[in-house]
Amino acid sequence: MSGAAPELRDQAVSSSNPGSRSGTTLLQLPPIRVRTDRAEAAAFALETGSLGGQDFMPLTYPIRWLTLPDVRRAVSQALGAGFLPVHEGQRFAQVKNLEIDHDYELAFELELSEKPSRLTVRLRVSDSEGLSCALETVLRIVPAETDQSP
Amino acid sequence: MREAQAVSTADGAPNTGDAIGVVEYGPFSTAALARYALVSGDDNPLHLDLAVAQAAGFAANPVQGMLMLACFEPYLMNWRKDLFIARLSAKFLRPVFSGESIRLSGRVLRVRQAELTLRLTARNGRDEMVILAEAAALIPSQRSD
Repeated sequence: MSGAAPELRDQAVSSSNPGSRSGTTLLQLPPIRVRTDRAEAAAFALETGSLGGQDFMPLTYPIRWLTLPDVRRAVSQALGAGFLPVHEGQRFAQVKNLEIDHDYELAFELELSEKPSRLTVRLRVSDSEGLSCALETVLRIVPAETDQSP
Repeated sequence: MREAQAVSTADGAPNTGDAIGVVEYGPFSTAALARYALVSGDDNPLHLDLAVAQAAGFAANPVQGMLMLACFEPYLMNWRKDLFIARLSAKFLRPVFSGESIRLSGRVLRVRQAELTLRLTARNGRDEMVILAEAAALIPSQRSD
């Protein structure tokens, strides 16, 4: 995993592209390879009250991968300086549980909409046998500082 | 994370309308928010820095939405240990702040063979709905084919 995140705001999607709409910008990141780690999974499970016991990968564990450096860079660029993300909606779907000490490929897509100002991050997690799980995160983009004058 | 009340477990075939029970999670201390930031990588200062939260118009640090949403998995697994959660979707309706707890509740909306559709909610201490969620869950032991 390397390289700078591609420009997001400059890659406007044509309105003839299925699923796109005016004021929407789409970006697909290059595939990212990860390996699940036993200690990281255990720490995550402990903090989220998991009942799955040893070697259990919590359903929401893939949210960690939204903070991988390339993804974080692309998200920060999409948000813009002086803005913060507020989590508005979340979807998870899984075909099978993630496994410990297992290799996966991550396919990220970011969709930035102007009105309303939202960033949607989609992730598909696959291994050599196919899709394991997917998630969609919807972030409302808010100014980092509100005008609190009377 | 501390549960204030255990949910009653079920092992028979679930029916439409069945209640899952009520379980309280929290309170979510600032230390818990910091620990979740560490294990999840979500170090958004909104959750961790009071000055940043106040500058953004919040009275206190809002709890990470994913920390609250993660509670639904143990909540459901406590109800039925044989569940496989195929889908979980949620809308975060209002913020929950550090020091507050949430109460999860749920109901079986629909039963179709081995697949359950579940309506789930989280409410704050003022009984305001803070998360509205829906899950699709499979019960392998109930599969007829």
